[in-house]
Amino acid sequence: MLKYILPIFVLFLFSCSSPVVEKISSPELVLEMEGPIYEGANTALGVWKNPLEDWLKSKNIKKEQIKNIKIVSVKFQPNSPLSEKDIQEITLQLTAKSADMQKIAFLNPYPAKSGSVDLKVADEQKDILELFLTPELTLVADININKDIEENLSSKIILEFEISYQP
Amino acid sequence: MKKFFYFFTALCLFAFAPQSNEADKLIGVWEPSHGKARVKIEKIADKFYGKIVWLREPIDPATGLPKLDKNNPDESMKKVPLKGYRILKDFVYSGSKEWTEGTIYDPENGSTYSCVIKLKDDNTLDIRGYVGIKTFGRTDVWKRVQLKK
Amino acid sequence: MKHLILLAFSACFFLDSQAQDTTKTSQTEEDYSQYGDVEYVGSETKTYANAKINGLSPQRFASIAWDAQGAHTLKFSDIGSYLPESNWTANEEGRVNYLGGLRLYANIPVISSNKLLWQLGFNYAASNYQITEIPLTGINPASKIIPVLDEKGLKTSGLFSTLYKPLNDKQFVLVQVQADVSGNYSLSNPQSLRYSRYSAAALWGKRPHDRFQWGIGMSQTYRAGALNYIPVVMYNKTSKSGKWGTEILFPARAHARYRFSASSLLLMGYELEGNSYRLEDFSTPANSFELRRSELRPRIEFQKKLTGFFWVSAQAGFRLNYSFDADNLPNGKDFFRGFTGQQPFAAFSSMTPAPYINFGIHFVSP
Repeated sequence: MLKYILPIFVLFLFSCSSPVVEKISSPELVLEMEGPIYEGANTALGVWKNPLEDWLKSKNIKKEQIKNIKIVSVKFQPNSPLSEKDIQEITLQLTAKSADMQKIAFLNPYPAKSGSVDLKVADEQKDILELFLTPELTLVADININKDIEENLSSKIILEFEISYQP
Repeated sequence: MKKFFYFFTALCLFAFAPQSNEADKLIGVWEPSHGKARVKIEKIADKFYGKIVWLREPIDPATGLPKLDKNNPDESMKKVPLKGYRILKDFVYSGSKEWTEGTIYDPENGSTYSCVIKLKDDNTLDIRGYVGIKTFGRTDVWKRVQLKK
Repeated sequence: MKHLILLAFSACFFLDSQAQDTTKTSQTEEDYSQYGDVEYVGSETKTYANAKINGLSPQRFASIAWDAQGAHTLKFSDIGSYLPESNWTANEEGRVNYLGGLRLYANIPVISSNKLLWQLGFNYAASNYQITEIPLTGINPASKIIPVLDEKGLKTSGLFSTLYKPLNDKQFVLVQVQADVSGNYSLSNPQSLRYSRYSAAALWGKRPHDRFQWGIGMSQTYRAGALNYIPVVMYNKTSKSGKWGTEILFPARAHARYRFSASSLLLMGYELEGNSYRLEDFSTPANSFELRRSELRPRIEFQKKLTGFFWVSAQAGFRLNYSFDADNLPNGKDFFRGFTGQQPFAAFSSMTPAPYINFGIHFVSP
């Protein structure tokens, strides 16, 4: 009798165990804008392929075990010749072929601070998990620039997110 | 064999190129019928998105500052500027000069509506935003604009 | 030949992928600051006056609500006495312990474009009574309306159609027609459409800007109980801040609006409700005995988004009786008395004021 009850009991315990929350950072992602760039709202794009693939392998878990993803911080750093003086504000969205675009962070006004800045992250986040499970996550940054720039531009971005999964 | 080759080439051209060319006709800058904004529609990750690139009244009369998304239901997103705002999102070309599965955002009330875009002619769009089913909606006519030459 | 086929394959996939690649990971930007100075590639944009203004309370597509009035006293004179209004005495009196019921509303757009808005709608409101009769002496027992109200209540069902036609970017016309069947009928014993009462309104208006529209027109209405012809004035305005505003379609309703946020607002004002209710018990094919019911409802209404496109509303206010007198219409044919006509009523009534509440859930377009 015990041989039947024990596995059921273990399974029950397993199913009732609370999800584990882990904080993860993305690699340094690159947002690109093709010049010439004009004053006004411009779009920078970046791609993150298979965002969770390495993490899933390292944990040896399946994507079905992931319960939720919440973005907790977004660090943005413009590269020369784009500087903090040129940026009025920035809005960051995530999208993918098979998932809807979500606005995740912005900064308005952009601070007069060189180097990396923290964007303000959206309180309400939905369907972020769906985006992270796609094979190609596209980052879309709408950057309002206050001057014309001839060259191609690239900026760095790092997403920090909490991933909650059932071990 | 030659016949087969020509047939095959023609088939390929029909099957792939026109579909993509038709879909990309949505790309460009468009003016809603109220004429108070211009929206640039672009293609990202095979879907179509439209952002506000020009506002007739960019300044909020209540604050004297550039207009913000003050009606956004997410409190943390109320300071996102309207200029550059993506009001059309996630449209997919579904054939027959129609783009579906997208949404349109109305900054006046912070609501996001389901939306269907129909290309009436190369320079005219019928944009229908709706609630639930298409019946509960409104169609607006958008015209294509370009920089003065 | 193999090479040719390969070439064909490559060509078609190249065509397909090229279209994607141009926009997939990079954008060729344009100078957006210049988009104030554009030309139309095809025909020009034609601007029409939008039916709504910014800040208005959400347009309701469908509603379900419950309305209830507090306790009050109701009196009727003897039916058919045709006395002057100053001379009537009560033939019956009752304590209304409860008066209320379900209200349904639907307003479906048939055509909804920037050039034309045409909507078809339906409304239903039930008034169920619980009345304790107060005994009076020397009365005519054959002429008692109160037991009829207590037993059957009153209902009104109507169909309406609204047409909004912008004439240009500033001017518009608005036409609404409505047919109501009102009385103490039931589903098993419906009222003949012969006794339908028709209302209509036509307005011409202007929309100077996105926060203001006004209009003037005429209406044929039963809101004052009996058939009447009344001028109408529309005045919808929202302050620059978007916090304050008015929603006025005088004399039917007038409200001041305060908006807490995009998802909640408060209306303060009144609504005039009315219709002509046929009482089957006192009617024959040769006459229609109709209660000319009209209520003025000063009130506050709180509206809040529940989820998505569903909003809830809560109203509280007073019901002030304007008319509950009765006319006996030969062959059911209505007549115009207006505010000054001398035609006597078939029965008079009086009703004390009562508090009322109304709760509703609505499917809206904000």
